[in-house]
Amino acid sequence: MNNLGTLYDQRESWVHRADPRVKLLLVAALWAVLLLRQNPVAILAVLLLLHALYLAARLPLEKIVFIWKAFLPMLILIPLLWSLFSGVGAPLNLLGFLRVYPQGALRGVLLALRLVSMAFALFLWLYTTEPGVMLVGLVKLKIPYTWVLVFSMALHYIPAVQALYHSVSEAQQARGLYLEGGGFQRLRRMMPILVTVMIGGLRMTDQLTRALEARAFGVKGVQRTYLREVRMQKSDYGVMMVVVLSTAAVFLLV
Amino acid sequence: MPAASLQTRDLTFSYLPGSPVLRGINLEIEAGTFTAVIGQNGSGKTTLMKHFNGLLRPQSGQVLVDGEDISRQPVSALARRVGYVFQNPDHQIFSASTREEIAFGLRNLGLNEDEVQARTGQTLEEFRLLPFAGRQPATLSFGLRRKVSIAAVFAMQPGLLILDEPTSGLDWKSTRELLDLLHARNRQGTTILFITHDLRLVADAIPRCLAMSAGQVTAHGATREVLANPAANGALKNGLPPVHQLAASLKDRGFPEDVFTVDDFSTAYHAAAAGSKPGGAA
Repeated sequence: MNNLGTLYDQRESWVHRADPRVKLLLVAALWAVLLLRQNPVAILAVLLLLHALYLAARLPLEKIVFIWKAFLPMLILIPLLWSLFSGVGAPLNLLGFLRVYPQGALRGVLLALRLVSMAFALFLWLYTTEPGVMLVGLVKLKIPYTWVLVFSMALHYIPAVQALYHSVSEAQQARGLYLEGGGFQRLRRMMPILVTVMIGGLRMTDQLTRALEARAFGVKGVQRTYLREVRMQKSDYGVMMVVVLSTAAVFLLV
Repeated sequence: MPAASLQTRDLTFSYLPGSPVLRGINLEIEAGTFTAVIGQNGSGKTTLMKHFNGLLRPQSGQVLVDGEDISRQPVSALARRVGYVFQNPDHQIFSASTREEIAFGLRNLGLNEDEVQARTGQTLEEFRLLPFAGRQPATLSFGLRRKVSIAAVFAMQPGLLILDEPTSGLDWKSTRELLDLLHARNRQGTTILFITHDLRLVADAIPRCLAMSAGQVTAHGATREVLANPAANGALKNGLPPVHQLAASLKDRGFPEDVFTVDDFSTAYHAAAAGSKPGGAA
């Protein structure tokens, strides 16, 4: 399968080689810990583990930076709002009129870090799993083929929409659209870009539907075969055991 | 709309380190000229053009519009002087009506509403888009959407107009209509750069030509000279007009090598016919 225009980052590493289902299990286990346990040590440990896995997968540093950058607004806003409005713990009076909640702020930081960790976990799977393998892995998990295809196409189209956004932004600036500056003014000025991208997205969807139908997608009673096969290796069972046991341990002990 | 001239000095650019797309471009486009830009896919045509309105900035070298270095001017400010029509009309169409679509750029220029309306009306008429003025441009046919996208930039009356393959997907009649509009603009002084793969059109209707190959300008000058210039070979691989190939196959009957249009052929034919009948038409 063509890897251009996907999130997949081809490298030589055991994370890349691991079975897509095992990696998905890892994501699920990490999400479970993150969502069900509020222990700061557990959250930080998961975050550290994920960074270690990114390094083990030999993913470039930019990928890590990209996720942190994407979550930067949340990392600032969530603790800020929690410190002002959460009502958690004893408030501190600042300057006489401003009430801040230090414990609330701490909770906010943890909440934000949980979200970042969840993103890191999901993107580890997306970055290290070849789209074709991902698709077959999901089908083997008995997820209906149509759903799997829709999911994989949605992933495919993220970079396509990014490219469209870039071209549209260039075209509108070339017509004198002034984009510098910030705040709501900027958001308003971005309307000509956003609307054009949306129309483009609809057009893409329409064309894609027709292209799928033209290639007989959805015909009943067809036995599908796949170019790529996924089979659990010994090492996959090993990783699976480690994931299951350590997750169980976390839930029992923390 | 005063015509704009264009110069580049040792312009280089690469999207990825180590694979230059433009390798030291030195170019002079005189004000008021009409130039076709030809070259195979990937030869750097679009990359070069995007430097002229600031969408791309040179990694080394300079771009000068009317003798002035444009490196510090934002794209939106350059839009006043340099118009750019993109390859895909759907990358710019967003308004609820064709009229609004054309007015968008004019409002960005800060013109007063009377002027905006006047120029919009005039452009709609020029492009025969009046019947579609109230229609949503995104729902028009591809040919019409392309027309709208060109009209929207035309209305801004830039001194330099760049069009990136504006005729791809257009039929011959629409192509000729567009060329007529461009020639009219050019006569009023606008400098035009026209990226195309259609060498038949270039030979027929565009007076000057710029040939690019592998990130370099290989030939630049009057169209007939460029098409006949062996240095432009890389750019000509897309195929000279069939009439040229026909004339080349008749070389031993006395057909010259610089036949690029039907008119050329007709002249050569009559000359050859006269030559083969001694004492014939003189």
